[in-house]
Amino acid sequence: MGSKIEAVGLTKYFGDFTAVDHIDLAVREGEIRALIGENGAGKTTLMNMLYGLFRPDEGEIRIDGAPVKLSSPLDAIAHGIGMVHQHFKLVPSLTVYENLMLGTEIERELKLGGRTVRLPIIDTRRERQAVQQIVDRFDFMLDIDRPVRDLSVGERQRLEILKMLYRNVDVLILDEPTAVLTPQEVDMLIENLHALKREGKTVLLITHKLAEVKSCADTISVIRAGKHVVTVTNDDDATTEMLAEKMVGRKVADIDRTRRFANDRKVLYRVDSLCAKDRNGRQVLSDVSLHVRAGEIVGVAGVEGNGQSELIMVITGLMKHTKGSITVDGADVTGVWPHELKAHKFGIIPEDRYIRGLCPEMKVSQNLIAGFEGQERFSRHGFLKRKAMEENRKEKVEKYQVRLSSKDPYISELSGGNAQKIIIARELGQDPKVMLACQPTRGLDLGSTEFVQNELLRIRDEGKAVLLVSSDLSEVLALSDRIVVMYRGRITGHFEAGHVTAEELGLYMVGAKRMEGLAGEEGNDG
Amino acid sequence: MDKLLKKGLRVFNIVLPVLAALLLGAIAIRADGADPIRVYRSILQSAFFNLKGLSSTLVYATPLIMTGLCLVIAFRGGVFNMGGEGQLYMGAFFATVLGFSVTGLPPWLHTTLCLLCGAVCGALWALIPALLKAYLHINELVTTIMLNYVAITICNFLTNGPFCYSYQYTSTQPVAPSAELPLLFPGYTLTAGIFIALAVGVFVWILMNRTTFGYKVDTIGYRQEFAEAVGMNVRKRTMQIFLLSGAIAGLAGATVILSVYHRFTPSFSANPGLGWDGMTAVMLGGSSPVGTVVAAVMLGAFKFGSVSLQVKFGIPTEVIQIVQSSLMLFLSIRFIRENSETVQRLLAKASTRTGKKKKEGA
Repeated sequence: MGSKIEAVGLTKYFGDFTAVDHIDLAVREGEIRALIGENGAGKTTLMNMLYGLFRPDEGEIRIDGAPVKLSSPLDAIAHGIGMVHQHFKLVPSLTVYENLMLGTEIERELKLGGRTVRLPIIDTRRERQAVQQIVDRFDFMLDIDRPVRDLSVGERQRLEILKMLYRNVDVLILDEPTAVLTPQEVDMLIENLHALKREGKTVLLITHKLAEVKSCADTISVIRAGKHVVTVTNDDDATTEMLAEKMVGRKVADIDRTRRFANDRKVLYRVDSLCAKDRNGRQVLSDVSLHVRAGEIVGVAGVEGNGQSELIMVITGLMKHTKGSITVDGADVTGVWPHELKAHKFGIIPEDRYIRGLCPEMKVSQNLIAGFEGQERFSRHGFLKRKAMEENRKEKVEKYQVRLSSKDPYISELSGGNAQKIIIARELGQDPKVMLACQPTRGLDLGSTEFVQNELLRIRDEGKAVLLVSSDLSEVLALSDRIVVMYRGRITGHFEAGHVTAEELGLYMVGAKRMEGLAGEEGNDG
Repeated sequence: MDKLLKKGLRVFNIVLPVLAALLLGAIAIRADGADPIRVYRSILQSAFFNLKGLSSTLVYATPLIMTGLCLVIAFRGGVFNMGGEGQLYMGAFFATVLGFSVTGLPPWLHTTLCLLCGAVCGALWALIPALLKAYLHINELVTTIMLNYVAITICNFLTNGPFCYSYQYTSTQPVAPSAELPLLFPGYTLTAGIFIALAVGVFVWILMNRTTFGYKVDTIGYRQEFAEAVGMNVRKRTMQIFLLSGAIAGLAGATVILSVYHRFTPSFSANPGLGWDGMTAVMLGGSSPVGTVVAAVMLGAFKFGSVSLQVKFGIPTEVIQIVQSSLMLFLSIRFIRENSETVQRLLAKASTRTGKKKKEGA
């Protein structure tokens, strides 16, 4: 049987860097193919070429055996190739069917004698009909009249997939589809993918999560450093250990998560019945209470948009609270400015790396002193000690193994992993008592993820208190000693690590389950 | 390789607008019946290649250096202080008042006091938009431009009203000789004002490149969220940036009066105004202190050249104003975006080519 879509010697250069290096890939019709590899391995670049976003420098793309030149996503869709990106492109205020029809609206027709005239008015009735039809056909369970802003992440993703299906694509490319989903939503997605397969669609799945790959792919292709390493059938021989090894190119060590300290250490960080409202007066945090002991990592799990970002803003002094208190080692830090937090030895790894964490337009050495420029070691009488800045850069770059292209490059020239290391180096430089880590490994490759996670475990073992906020449930499970779940601005569950499964947490994350009277409990113990 | 190309592009982005403006000016000169090349050469010659001309060029450049530098600080801090003109007027007017109302002081003290008065008044005038921005989040672009007209009107009123000196000519009383900035060489128009301007230049350079203040200003200008998140007090810094910027503009006004006019006339800043010319300087200079000083001297040469043109070729000064205004216009267009896809592709191509060469060579 011939291939539905084929890449032959596909190559893409970015300057000196070969992002995709002569990759051959052939995917049969009706196959679910997983494309795995670390971040920066070239998976997304490869897919972007198949979707017409990048033009290949060498090689060609064949669809049903015939070579095609794809110059834009529109072109790709016309050739039957659709892609769903990691970040959804939907209009929150419009309903499901309106979003689906965006750009292909059905216009009302007027019959005048023998001729039909199209009016510039949208034919809502026929649009809803068409959308309902396609939702039913793939059994996607979506209320087509709901506005997108009320949809869960999983539902939004289903809508994105439907958008492509409505445009009659045969090949569907999904870029890291499970990154933001709860375990239940992942199961649902896998079910949906099987439904697509039954309809004869071909699915290309880009991911670095091996467990999900194992549960749904027919074949698995591993890509490393722009090169195709191996393609295997998804059977018992293809173990996750073997795949991880192929991805990274070496054996991956399991995280050692044994705790050093017993559960009776001093509470270094405490948030007590914190409430906050956003600009529109909406209650975004309701009675959030938690505490972190010395030598402990407390993970905050939850689907994104359930108040985690607001919690971070409030506890870092960037947003006002309406009620409650926060203490660092007994000292009240409720509503203080970020620079006062620094004085209380509170380190922050922000969630948006390039907005609050770093200044991409400035150099590494400058970013490494941000927030500490007034300290004696970096300045005297308002004059910067340039030598001290230099030495600080050298020391940090060496200590945290930051790979730099030149001596002191701009942050914008660094990869995500190296950029994150700069933040960690800066925040740990002040020897904090409490460390707030928000999405610390988002978008990082396996190697950097390993580094960052080990670093968090290391400072925990040094006796620091770590508050980890992450939408990556596997990360929360792997690192935390205790886990709290946030749902709609409240803490709805509180668990000891090891006593809860991902599935159980998932139920709390989507609000299907909740513990009663939790705020009081959390506040009282410890 | 990448860096060299990128630097080249940045230079190109400044050279291209200059050439375009000169070309547009050439059309105007041609239309007036003169030879553009001869005219431009004559400007260069009269502005730089004789001592009298050079002295005049620097006289014209003195206030532009300062109004340019006042914007270097503001722009790098992300504060769009378009109120240089108003701050300049306030500084100029009250420096003049102090210049004629106080007498009997030693010259060094009197001039220093007048200059300080100018700086303080410029800063005070900048305080209004600064407060509005820092505490009420009112866009400074709008307030500063509006306040320019208010400042000019106030100065106009005061000159015609309470401080009216002569009814034939709208101006205040002349300042006392002890307040005038001394001429540097007898027979030349250049005064000590140029040293003040250069001193401000050195000050701004040190401030921006060597101090924690400059570091914070840059950080806030690049990314305010980042500055806030790492604990910089953005509100306080914004106020300081505004005040410093206003003080330099006020100082510029005081310097012009004390070295050139010796009395306040509401038209001293001419058209388009010294504050606005500072904007051209800072855009030509790419927000760097050194670049801005160099650009201001070039603009000074142009200003002086345009005066001499009228005498030599009978070309109206408006022709040179066409060059100046179109320069401003072209400078505000970024002809080539350094990060555009075309450029990226060019860069990629260039570097693969050199990469291949390297490999072949090896």
